[in-house]
Amino acid sequence: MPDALLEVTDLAVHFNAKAGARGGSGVVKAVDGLDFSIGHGETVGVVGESGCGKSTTGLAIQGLVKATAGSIMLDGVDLTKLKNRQVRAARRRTQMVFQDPTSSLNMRMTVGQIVAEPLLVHETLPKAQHRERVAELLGLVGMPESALDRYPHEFSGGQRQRIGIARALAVEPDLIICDEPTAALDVSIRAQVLNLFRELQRERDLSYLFISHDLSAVHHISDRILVMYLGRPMELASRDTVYNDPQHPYTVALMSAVPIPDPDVERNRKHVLLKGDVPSPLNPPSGCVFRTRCPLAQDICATDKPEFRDVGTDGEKHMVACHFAQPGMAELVASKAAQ
Amino acid sequence: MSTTPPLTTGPETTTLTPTGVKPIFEVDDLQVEFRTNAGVAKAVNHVGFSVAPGECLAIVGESGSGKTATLLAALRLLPTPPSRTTGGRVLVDGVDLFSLSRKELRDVLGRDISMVFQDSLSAFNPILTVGRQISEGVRRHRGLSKKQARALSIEMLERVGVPDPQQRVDQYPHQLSGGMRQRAMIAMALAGEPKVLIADEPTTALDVTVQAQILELVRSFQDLSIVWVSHDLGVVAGLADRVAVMYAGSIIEQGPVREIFHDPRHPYTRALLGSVPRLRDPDRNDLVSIPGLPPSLVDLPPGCPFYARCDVREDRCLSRMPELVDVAPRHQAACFVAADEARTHA
Repeated sequence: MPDALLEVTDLAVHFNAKAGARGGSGVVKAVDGLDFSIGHGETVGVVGESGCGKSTTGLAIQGLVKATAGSIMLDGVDLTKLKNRQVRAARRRTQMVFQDPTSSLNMRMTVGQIVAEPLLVHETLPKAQHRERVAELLGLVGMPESALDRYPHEFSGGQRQRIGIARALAVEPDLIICDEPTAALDVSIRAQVLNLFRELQRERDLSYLFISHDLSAVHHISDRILVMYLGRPMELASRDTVYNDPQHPYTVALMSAVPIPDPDVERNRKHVLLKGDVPSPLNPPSGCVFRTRCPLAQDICATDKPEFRDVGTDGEKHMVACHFAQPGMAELVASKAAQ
Repeated sequence: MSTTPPLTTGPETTTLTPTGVKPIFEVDDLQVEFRTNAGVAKAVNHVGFSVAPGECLAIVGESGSGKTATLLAALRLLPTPPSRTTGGRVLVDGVDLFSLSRKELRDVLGRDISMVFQDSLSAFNPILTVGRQISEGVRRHRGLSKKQARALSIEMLERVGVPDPQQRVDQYPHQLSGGMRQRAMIAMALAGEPKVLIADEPTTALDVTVQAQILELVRSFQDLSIVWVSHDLGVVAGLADRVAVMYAGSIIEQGPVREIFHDPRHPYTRALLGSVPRLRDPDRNDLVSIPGLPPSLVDLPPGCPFYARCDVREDRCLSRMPELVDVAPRHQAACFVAADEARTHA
């Protein structure tokens, strides 16, 4: 994709782990060998279990953790190679919305101050115009202007998340990184926030990196979905392909585990159950990291690391990291798991 | 099952469950208040439901709807103050929990009825081994020796699918992963062979793949009567026989799982179902969002608590809280409009 807004190539984020109570020390490869891109006005969802590196990916793009290797190109500029001053300028173009709207808003600041803070930092607007701009931003996210002089605790969880979104919008970013933005919200409120994200996107051609373990929310909002496991990319394709024709056994298992809110469907479908838990990131399996829980694993999976390769047809890019990637993977995994 | 007879024989239950069997667990007209700085919060208002042997009843609702408070109050696990149970009756296999002494209650909890919670780390004592904690209940309730209890603990851990149970039984809670700890908690709850299992969002903190394992495990205990609290409608669809929907401290609809999902009658239930994104929705329509917020429990309106957010509200909804009435066989809703619709279609 030549006109991609964001191009992540071979990204790695490694942490040094000290020996702890659980024993073991070494390097945790929180993200390793990650390639993906986000187009203008596109939403890419990132899914995976706890510890799969989805949040770290978001933090690395925003520059809040340092990339160990690889490049993060935003409109042709490599964010990993910037000097201090340039970092600040680049950060204006990407903004974050966090999971917990209670701890990501400073409770001692008024809503007006919170939303105006990015304007102060990036000096994009004369101070005299801040109040007017903040009122406009609050209107965009469906909050009354009267919220300006009130404090976060006076608002509900859903309203606080709207305040967080208004703050992210303040400096007119091109990309918003949403890290579990609806996880702390009740279903009816979650629907309001998801609708707001989509409305804002339609109006201002925003791109989103939408990180969540809530697969139904990700499926609803994303154009393409990236599936991660133990820091590695497993599959990346359009939302419908990931759902209807996944070619990685992990994607099959993940989709199968999402309960469907319809008793007739949910009771009659076969669940592919994965055994056990995600292995320790300190000591990931050799070869394919998923092989210890994979119903299709063969000898080659322990020795050869599968390449993240394009298996797409009809011009659609469909990336999969599996030696046995093939159409009809869902049926194959289901029949293997039933044995 | 335990052969010990019930401690006291409560008043004969007069109501049968909607399926026409004598219930094993029954909550009747339960009312619970909390003293808060803002005033008295009416957290549970005239809540009643029953569970038949082998049945799974799901209680769904959003934060603050009173799901957890109902169950904790029913088992007398809420601290008083700040809470106060101001009315109601709770029967476990005919025994009225509210008439028992503290000591008698301890004999019932863990033996006839037990509970699993959302956060397995805080449900376990961090300084005792998992095996010791599973043993504790069965030694007390079933009079097993230390050795027998340990053997049973290992057997239970194996049954719920904890790998290497021989080794795990001597480990401490923090040494188990979240999914394994949740299994161990279920093992602990089921070791006493209770008649009723109360589960309060036991899979909410888990990854979906681990959640799927736990749900499969729970489904495998087919004779167990279960009250399953959840806000996840997908989980409920796969597990429950009947569903009760709570809003602002009241049950506003209850009925068989298929009717609740395919023919919901209360406007809140309809909106709740519409607000869930569906994996099979190809058009990606905007989700139904319910405007506004639930009312404050400190200042509940005299009428229907859903009035301010309801799309079919009428003036009469302001005057008093609609009662739960039959809108279909075994299916009740607390809504004047839904009741009228049911009458005209009957």
